[in-house]
Amino acid sequence: MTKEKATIWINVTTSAHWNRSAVGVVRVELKLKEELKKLYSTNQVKQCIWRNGVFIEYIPTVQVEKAAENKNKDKSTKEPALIYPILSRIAALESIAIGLLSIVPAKLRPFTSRSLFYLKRKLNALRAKRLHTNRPPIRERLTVPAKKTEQSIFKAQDILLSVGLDWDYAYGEEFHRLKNKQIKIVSCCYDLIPILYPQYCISDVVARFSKYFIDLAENSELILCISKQSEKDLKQLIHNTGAANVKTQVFPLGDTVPLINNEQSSNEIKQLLAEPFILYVSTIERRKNHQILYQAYHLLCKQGKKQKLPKLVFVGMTGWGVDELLKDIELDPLTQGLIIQLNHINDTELRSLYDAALCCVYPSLYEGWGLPVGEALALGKLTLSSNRGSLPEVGQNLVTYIEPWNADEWAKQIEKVIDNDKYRDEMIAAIKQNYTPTDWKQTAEAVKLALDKIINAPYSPQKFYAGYDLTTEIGVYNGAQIESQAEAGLLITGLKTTIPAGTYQLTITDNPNYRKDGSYQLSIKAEGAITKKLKSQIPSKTNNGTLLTEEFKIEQNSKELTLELYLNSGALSIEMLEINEIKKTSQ
Amino acid sequence: MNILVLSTYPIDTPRHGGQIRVSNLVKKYKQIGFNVEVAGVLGSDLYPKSDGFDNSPSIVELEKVISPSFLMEDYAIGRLYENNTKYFEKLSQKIKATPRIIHVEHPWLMPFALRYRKESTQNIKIIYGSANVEHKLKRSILTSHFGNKETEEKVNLIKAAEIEAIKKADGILCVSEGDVKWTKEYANCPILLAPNGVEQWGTSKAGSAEANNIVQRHKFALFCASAHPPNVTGFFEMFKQGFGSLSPSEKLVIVGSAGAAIEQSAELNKSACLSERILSTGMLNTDCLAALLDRAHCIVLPITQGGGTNLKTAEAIWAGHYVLATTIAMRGFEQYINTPGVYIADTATEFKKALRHIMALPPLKLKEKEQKQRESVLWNSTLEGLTGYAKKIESSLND
Repeated sequence: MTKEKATIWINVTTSAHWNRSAVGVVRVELKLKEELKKLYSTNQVKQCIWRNGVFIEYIPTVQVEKAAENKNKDKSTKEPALIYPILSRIAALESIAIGLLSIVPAKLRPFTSRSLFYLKRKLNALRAKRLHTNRPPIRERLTVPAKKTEQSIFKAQDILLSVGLDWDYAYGEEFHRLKNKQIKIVSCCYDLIPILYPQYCISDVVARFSKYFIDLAENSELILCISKQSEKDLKQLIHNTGAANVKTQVFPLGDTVPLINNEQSSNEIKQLLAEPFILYVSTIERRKNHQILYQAYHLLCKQGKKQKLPKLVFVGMTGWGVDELLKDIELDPLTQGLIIQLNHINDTELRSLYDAALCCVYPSLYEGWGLPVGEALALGKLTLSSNRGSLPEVGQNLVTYIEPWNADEWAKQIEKVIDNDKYRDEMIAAIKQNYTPTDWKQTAEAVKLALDKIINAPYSPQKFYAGYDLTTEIGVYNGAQIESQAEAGLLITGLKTTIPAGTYQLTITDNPNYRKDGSYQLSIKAEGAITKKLKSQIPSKTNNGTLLTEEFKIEQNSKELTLELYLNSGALSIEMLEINEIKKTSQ
Repeated sequence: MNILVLSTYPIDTPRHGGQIRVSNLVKKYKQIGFNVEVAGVLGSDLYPKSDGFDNSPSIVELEKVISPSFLMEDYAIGRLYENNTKYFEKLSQKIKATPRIIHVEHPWLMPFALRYRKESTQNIKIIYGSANVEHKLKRSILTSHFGNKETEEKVNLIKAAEIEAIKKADGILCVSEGDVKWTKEYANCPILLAPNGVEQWGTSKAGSAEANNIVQRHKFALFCASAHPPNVTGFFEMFKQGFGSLSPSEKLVIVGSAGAAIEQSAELNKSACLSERILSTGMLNTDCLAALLDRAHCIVLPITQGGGTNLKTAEAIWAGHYVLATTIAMRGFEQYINTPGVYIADTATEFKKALRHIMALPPLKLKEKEQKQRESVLWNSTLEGLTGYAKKIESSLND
């Protein structure tokens, strides 16, 4: 009898629904999937997605077809050339607005401009709302399940690894059900920002995210944390709320920046690369604190230092709560032309920007990790960073840390970078010598180590209380117990748990004072087939509270172990059923 | 020997703690051999009409005594029925048999009792039943509605009423050691410690079916409480800032009017997972409550304010399950702290952590000796000393 290998199911619901370039959480999910597949034997790692309230196996054949379809499309050159290039939706809207402003009579321009500005704010708010939920548009075609089955995909000892945007999906109940069936769930804690700093979120989401983490702690076998800071924050939440004391483990995130590929850089980027600039890679939102960089630049300009200032480049989408800041930047005559925002850049452009930047900055008010700091260091860039949250974990002693609300200090340090070549060179040399980038293989190896520990852990005895965990046809529930009511029939049935192949001992305890002479029949089934059947007399009241101790064998990892106890005559009050492994099966 | 029990609530169908205590005192006095008559004034319109009780006076009348009368209704009733002859006569006429002993529960009707005694031709002894240190409890309730100065003024009035009751009583019953300690400072007579207790209950088939219907197959912790503000305040103080103590398949069952008050509170949804884990039953019949008490895995007593002893604590102890309580909730039952199955936690984090720990334990099975020890919370035991005490007061009538 050989024990089957546990399957590691990676929940790829987030990335399967994502149709933009993979960043942040999506990238973690994708990279882990790719690298874990390489580290485990064939077929031990499988993908699943959440659909109609269950996890189903995901075989992305449609994706492959789509790629093939695109490839074919590229080859066909028969389509007529377009007169104008296709713009992104946002760029198109901006062009329409500019066009409108250009053609309205001069008298109406101030009014039109104001109207367009407020319309833009409204649209940004709507967009930010969508961004906040982090749920990308669903590509329906990609969600077509490869396998349509109502049967659970999980068998005994399987692991479900879920590291996506899980707070956006109603996994909670299913995770709990799976946990009760002994499926081990390994989840991820990126940060607790919505709980710790709700003011930086679009609405009060404390209760929602607290619930998410309370449920996660309840249902997870292990929560992977992306930094010591996130782990600390999570443990504090668990302490404050009395949630389950779940195991946690910090794992390193890959910080390798994609290499330059054959994608083309736009003219705008090419022009930018010709001059010195300071780079800030991040979504533009309140928490990321772009405001302080603008203030620092404003201060430096006011001191008459505009001429020596390099451009400040923000790379990232516009999030919420920054309309006023962006308007200030647009209108401030002092900083005019110095601060540039780039969006929708490709990997080649991003890499070129990193390579050419004079230095990188990261003034965020709080982070669960701070990947851009790691990326900057991996590329040997001098970095000025906020000292909040996990950022010192990322930057170690290779980064200049600045209090994120101190505009004067940011101005001072930026000026130092510009003026002091020696300082710059020394910092860069120290980074190149001491910073070891983490590649995604290392990330996956750390996760594998944690998963293997779970896979190889000894079988934990399973306890079931009749009154809470089983059902009855002829008895009544009395707290933890099921009591018979003077008739013959099915007294207890249930369990419905998974169980690995092996030999086990079943112990049933009852209330001896409730016993009345008679007999009962017990049957144990795995996948519906009987593995053990016995008939026994009810022991006398003077015996202790153990009704029965019985061995049984499970040949193959089972998705569903069930138990039935028929009372033929007499009376019983069943309290607890305990299953202990007595003989291990070789792996 | 006639004994009159004066109260601001009727006891025909005892529901809240105060009613249950008076009801058991009446039973005890009857057992001792007294002819007991119960009379008083309904402290609220919500109480049903009852023989011997005058209806709750209108707010207009109460405001003549103290304005605003909000949260001071009991105090205002006491002064109204003392000083306003019309009201004094109304209540006096309710008393059918001339008493030789008057038991006044709470200090409120003490001014009436004192005038009644003064105007009576009989030698009457008065027993003051202190259910808690009233002014301390009132302070915690008043502070959330009034400014400091106004609160202190009101608290001082109540404290003065309490001290007057203590000083002028011929006998005093207290519910806890703490209560005794404070009362002793002003008392001119011996004090009897007569903690709150509980009556043995049995479960019926109908009650069990009803209870099972409510809780289904959930493992649950039980919280029995009225909508008395300290109960609701304590609940939120202990379960604020996220409630992770229970798994999704476990419930916190709230029995009594506290449930509605908790569900209507804005605090409920501020504490993550709390609204999902609670199951509020409202008021239940005694059979169903008994079955729930039998089936609970744990009984929680998140009481953070108030004096006296909590009847619900006695009930929880007698139920024979795990008890999770604050130190305040264990007032009067200190001897059970550190006994098997009793857990004490005084902060929200400790309380929630302890609840999680308890819910993971196997059901409590008390040894015979331990169950026997819990018997001392039965009314028979807590009011045992009243027989000799009341007899002594009775005999002093001849002095």
